[in-house]
Amino acid sequence: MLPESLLDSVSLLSKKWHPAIVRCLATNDDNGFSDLERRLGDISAKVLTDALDELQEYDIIDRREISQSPLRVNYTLTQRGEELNEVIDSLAEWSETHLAEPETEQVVLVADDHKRIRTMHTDWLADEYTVRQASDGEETLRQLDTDVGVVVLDRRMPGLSGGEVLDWIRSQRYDIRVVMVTSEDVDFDLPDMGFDEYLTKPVRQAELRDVVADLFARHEYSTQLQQYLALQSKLALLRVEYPDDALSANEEYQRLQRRLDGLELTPAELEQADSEVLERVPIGGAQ
Amino acid sequence: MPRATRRSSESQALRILFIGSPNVALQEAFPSDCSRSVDITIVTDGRTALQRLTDASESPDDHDGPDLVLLQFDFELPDGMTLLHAIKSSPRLGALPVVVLDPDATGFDMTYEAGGNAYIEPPETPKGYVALIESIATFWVEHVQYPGESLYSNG
Repeated sequence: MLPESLLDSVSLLSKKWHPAIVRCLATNDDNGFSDLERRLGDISAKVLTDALDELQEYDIIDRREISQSPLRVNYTLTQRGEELNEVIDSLAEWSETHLAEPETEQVVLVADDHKRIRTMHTDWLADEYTVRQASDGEETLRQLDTDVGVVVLDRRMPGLSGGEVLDWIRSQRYDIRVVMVTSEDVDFDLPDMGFDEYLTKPVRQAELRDVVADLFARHEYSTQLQQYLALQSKLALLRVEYPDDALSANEEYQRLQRRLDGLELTPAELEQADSEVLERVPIGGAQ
Repeated sequence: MPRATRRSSESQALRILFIGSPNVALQEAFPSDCSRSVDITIVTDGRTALQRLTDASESPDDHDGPDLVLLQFDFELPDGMTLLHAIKSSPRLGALPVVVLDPDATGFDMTYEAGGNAYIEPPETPKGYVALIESIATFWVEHVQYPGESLYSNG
């Protein structure tokens, strides 16, 4: 059985304006009638008067006359009122944690034909994101929609390959960041693919979580900055795999380098990128 | 870089992408029997179809995209349902009309769930196709209002 007194306090708190008035008094110094009226927004004078009367009856607020003519009053919280305010505060905190709509849901699509890997990658991400799974290229297409923010895409899958799926995603102007996962050696076809990041199997947990978090962060960046980061990732990958002289003779590498140089990023845009991202990008994919 | 002239708006031919294996000699029926200029392309597998749509979206100046898709369900992977979903979920091609032709009449619910525009049993004669396409064209090309921008424009 609930104690009567608890029900009383709940009924007091469930009144529309009571908790608002208490919080208002707790956070402001001058609390005349018109101050309260103004701060509370769309409350009528009649309703405010009634609420203040009731709160006084419960000895939650104190009404003090500052002058008689013209009549000026100031309201303050009593000791009981201060304590109630703490309860309201923690109640607000509780609702924030448990009742508030989650921020826009972040959806990751994990596409891999190896069930074990797919399940493992999903488990690593499931606490932070809504994870969808696809076991081949076709299923990836069927799971794809504008809710998806990041795709963890196996390069080699039976049927439609990761590359074909990636081409489709890019050609359709999906606002989706893609991390390509592969067990193959880096080859010069790679830079032509429109992925944002690249990971080599076996992928480690921290690595996957970092990349996915970074890619969600990149949604906020300008297109230029996103391109910059994607290009950096590819260049870094090639630098790790090939000696310098092979790179300077390689057209693909030079073409990427020129595209990178052609991007005009403002200092603000560069700053916008979390320094962690910029630090991580140059070693992206290299193990 | 010089760009090829955009043809999509100038050319009046209705471009149809038929995905599947038509049960009649479709191309012979056009244009002779049809009052409208129709440019019909047939691809028999899903992968080629997907590639065509990818190319048309990626470089609309070099590849004409279809105005209308006629989609059969019975072909190799990716299957009709996958393609239908891919087109209808796409930020770019979502407005492209897709008419599903299903000889087995099994995919009715799935078609509409995936956002297909119409679901019909395929005609059995070339004349039947001509009549079908004329009526579809009248509806989709003359009556239906589209978002301001072309499906394939780069934007």
